[in-house]
Amino acid sequence: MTDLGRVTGDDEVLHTSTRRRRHRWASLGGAIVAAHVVLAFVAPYLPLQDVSEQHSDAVLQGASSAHWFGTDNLGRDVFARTLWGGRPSIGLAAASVVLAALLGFLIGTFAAIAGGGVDKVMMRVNDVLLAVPSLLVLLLVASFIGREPLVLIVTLAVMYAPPIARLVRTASLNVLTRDFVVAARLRGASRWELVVGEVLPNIRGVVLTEVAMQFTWILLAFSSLSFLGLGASPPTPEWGLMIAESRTYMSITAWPVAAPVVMLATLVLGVNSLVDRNGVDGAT
Amino acid sequence: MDPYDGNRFWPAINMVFDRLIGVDKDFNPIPELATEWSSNADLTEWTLTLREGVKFHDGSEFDSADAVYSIGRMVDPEFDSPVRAVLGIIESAAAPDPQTLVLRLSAPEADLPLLLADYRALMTPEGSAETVGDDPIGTGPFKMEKLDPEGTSRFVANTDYFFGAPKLSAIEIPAIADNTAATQALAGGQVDLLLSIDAKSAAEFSDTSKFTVQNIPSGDWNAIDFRIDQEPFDDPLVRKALRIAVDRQALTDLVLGEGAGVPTCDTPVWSGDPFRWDGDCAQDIEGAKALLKEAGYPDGIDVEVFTSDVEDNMVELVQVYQEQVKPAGIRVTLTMADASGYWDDVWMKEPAFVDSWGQRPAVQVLNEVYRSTATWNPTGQQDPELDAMLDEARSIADPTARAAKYQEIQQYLFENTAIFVPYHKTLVRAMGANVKGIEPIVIDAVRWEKIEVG
Repeated sequence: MTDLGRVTGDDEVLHTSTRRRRHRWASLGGAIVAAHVVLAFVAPYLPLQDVSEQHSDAVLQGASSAHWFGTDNLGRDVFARTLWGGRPSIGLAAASVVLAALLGFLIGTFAAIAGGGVDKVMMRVNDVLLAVPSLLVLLLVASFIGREPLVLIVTLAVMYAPPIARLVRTASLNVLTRDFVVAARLRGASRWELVVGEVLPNIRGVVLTEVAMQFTWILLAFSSLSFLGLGASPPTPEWGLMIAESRTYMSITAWPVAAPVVMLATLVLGVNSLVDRNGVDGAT
Repeated sequence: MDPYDGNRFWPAINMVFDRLIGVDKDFNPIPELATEWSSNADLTEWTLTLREGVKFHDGSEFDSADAVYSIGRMVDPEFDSPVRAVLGIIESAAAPDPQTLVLRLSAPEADLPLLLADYRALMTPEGSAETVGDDPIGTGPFKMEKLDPEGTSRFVANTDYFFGAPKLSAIEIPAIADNTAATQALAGGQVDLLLSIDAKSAAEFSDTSKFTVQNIPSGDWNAIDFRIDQEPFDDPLVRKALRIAVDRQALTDLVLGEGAGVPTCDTPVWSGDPFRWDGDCAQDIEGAKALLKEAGYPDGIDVEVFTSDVEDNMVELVQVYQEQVKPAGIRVTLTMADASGYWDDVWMKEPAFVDSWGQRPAVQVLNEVYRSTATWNPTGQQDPELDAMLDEARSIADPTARAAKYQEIQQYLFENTAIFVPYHKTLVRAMGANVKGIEPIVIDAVRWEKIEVG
């Protein structure tokens, strides 16, 4: 189906070479993301050093055969902590983005189908939420309500659902005016059948792209929160927290900061390159 | 610049003003604005002879009336200066003649000279309460030229200083936002001296001939406090188990950095204090397990400790503690609290929390932290036996007997206290190699007029 060409970008005019380049780029992205996800899952089963064991005789050391990425300010193994460090962030970001996608989809399709005043009101509320700086809200929530994973997941989902909702609405409106939808309506399909049977399959690609983008934003937001001391709690190995804990000692050894930075950066880059392809192919 | 105000500008106040009594590097009282002092037999009245011919920066003479005025402000309950916690024992001050000051105390105090050496117990001119904040007139080695706590403040030499004219013509104090920026400023040569840097960052300066790094044992300490009025910390067995399960040397090295602290056996009295008790408190995992079993916790206990990054080392302390007591069956959960509300909402309120204190002489720290009636008694310990021992100690005139009593008190604390004090911090001071005249001694004893930059 190419009905959504207008929404997703006109892939018809792309040159074949550009496409091929994008594919290669996307495969690399896919491989990076897959590696991250696999590592996050298997870290507990790898023969790594204990992430919380402290060595008072080996503090802030550089890379060595005993500690591949050196040690941090409490003499803990940076390699093991870096591999474990993705688990809280990726897990929490994934849970938040699923919830955000669900919320965004429900709000977006509901607004599109309802139309009129309801649509207007819902989208204005959505705009207001879009205008609020999400990190600020997160800081307030973490300070005053709590920093339990569930609280953070719900807050992140609510803060990152609006862009998805807006996109779902636009894409749905586009689909709803198509002949086959009109035909389905005439057949007597219910609203729910329209959404599930007609709208969802047609907007899937573009929405997935948006959801993946929001995943990287949520990942960075949670890491920022940890960096600011309000996300993951010590001694949990978590990338943002590791950067915060070790930045003072960066001039002595860069490993404890560099390793989580590289992990965060590659994951974000990987997701971005992966969805780059989806942005083109998603609609086909 | 008001030295008695909670927001005093330190260390500038110590360049502009002088104390009656100073301290040497071993923390013995030495003359500053007072040249001699003695007490009556029951230690309730002290008479001080003041230095003659001392002039304030505006040319006026310093005499006993200024001293009476200054002490009056320090102990004024309405003004409630932080230094009142130290000198509140002074009931009245009198000036029988311009060179004599008589202090009457509400209770015997053998160590009044040490209390008068507090870094905030500085002498200001009579009637200066309204002006001292912006226009400080002292007797000190430097005069204020420009006050800008958020920019650069400038202090120029007082060539008439009674200990001799300063070797530097001026000292500038720039405001630097954080530790990292401060170390970079020294590395880059923008500043000559950093009074205190993070011990683990000191490695940057210790390997080069361009800098001098001084490690100065100090009396600053951190602690984990357990509220004695809450279960399970009401049980002395549990309290002791929580404290003996730790390898203090390893903890000190990990939290502060190697050589950056002196381990201590739960006494807040630091290694440089003549009244310090040096106990033996090696890690005893089996002992801790046995104590917990005896207290009715054969399967160990769960403890939630609150901390915050409101100050350096406070989060690391709990992380290392958590690891070390694990084998004893003490399962510690670390809870991070918001830094802005830590001292108001968490400290002294939650069942277990991290604490931080600055250096104080034995008499002061023991009375300020452990006495039942103290405002800042962080664990809520109410112990009449301990109070009686504290009363007795301060009324003993003989220094040797007094030291013995204070050591007995510290030993008593090790058996009973709910405050886990693992170390005293070693202050790390860094300066350019061209800076001379700063001895490796606590800042209270540094003579600013002797500093020179080559």
